[in-house]
Amino acid sequence: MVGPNIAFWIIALVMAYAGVRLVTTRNVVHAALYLMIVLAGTAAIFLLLGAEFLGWTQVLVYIGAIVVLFLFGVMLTRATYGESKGLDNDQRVLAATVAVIVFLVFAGAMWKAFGASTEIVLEKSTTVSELGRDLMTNWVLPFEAVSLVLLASLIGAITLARRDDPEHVRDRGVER
Amino acid sequence: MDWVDYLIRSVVAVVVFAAILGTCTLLVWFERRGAAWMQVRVGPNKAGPFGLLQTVADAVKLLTKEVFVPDSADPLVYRIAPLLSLLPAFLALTIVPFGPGFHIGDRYVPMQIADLNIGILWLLCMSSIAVYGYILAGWSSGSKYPLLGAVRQSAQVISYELVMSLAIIPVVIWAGTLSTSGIVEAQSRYHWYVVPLIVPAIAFFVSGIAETNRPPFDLVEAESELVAGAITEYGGVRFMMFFLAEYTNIITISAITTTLFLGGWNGPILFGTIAGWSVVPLWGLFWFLLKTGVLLFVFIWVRVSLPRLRYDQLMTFGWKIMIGVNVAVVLAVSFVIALMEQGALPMFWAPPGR
Repeated sequence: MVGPNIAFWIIALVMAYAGVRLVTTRNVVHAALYLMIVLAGTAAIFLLLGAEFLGWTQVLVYIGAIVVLFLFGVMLTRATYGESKGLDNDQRVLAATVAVIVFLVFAGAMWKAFGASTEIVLEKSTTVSELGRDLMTNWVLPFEAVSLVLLASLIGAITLARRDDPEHVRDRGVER
Repeated sequence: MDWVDYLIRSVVAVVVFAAILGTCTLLVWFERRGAAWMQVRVGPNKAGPFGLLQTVADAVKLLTKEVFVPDSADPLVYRIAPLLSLLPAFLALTIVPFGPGFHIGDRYVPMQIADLNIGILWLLCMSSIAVYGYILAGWSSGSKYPLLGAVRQSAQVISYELVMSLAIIPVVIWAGTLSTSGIVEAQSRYHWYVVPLIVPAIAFFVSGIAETNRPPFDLVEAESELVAGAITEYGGVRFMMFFLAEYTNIITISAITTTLFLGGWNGPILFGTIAGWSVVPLWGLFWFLLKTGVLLFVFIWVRVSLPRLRYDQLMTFGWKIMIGVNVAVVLAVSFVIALMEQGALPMFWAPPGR
């Protein structure tokens, strides 16, 4: 299996470069675009492994919605051209620790699952209906747990964004 | 698959591509001439018969203009943005089945560039990538009106993409497949989905108008407020790419609405042969083009008839009405299908066996 391995290394190198540039670039919009490249690389690896549905869902959700929301937020608040100031803060150590821990956890899981084998195992690709049935039978509890987390964060966001003081309500009075 | 099959597929792709470009040209012409006709004006009438060559003349003019990058622009992103707009527009059309496939000898000729298992997901992906074209164009131009256009664009498209996905879900549940050719086939056995799913059909088309930034949802390029929105600073070929992308998107929305709700290429076959040659696949193509053509007409009709919405109206309509109604429809359709499969309801609008 030479082809998939070559493709994997190309994708991985592009992703690593984009990942580094993502945190080193001084331009917020460029950072969002580098993030888009990293996420596209993840989707490409899913496709490489035959997970068609997962790969395109990744494109749809992360590239199509989340990075667009980032860009929207950036443009609404600080759409500077060229370099922006104040992008650094003093939490580098904490961030590096978290990154290393996440890396170790993932690397450990991968090592446990595949060992030293570098062969990419291409299984028969899973159809959407199989995926759906699995999600609704074997994995229904984690599925529900995730949706609860999403619901909680949604409610949290509304609580944070909403201000019920009378002055604020009067400002929005244009709407009928 | 040997090289002959690849050759056949390449020919199909080239023919479809050429047909799209031709349709775009005609559509731009009709946009002007037809709008003039509806508004009792004359419209373009100098270049060619009925002004038909006006679009060609405009294209030549745009192609020969100077290609430039404004001083204040972000050069790389400014150059990439038109490509990010045009490429997904063309790629989205690859999953549309234009007619039933047929055989020449023992070779199968599909009337569809790519028949993906996850066809509808592909469409949503492409339309979500196409957003970048406008947003990045607006940001990279380094000017204030394009930026305002880009902000409006991202808010509008995020809102209406939700509506579009929600309008597609009932079709997928009903047909039991994500593949576009599968959905058309399911409609040939029973009924066109516009009959039971009239609400999502309308919602899909309306959100399609919003996604393509057409009036009455064209706040993104509202000329009286924003000059030309995100593409104000573009000229020449790069402007033409945005322009072409907009019209390709209109064709895509019409073609996909036909595929999902109007039975695709299904239609009565009035006669089967001409001089001993079977013309059945051509009837499929004919009905497909007819339905898509009618929807294209509706696009322009709506543009000429309706005034632009106000921004808060746009958002209220999207979030409070369209999304609410469509979530209710998704729930109702799942419930009805579940009852039918349990035998509690007669299989009147029978979904194909799964």
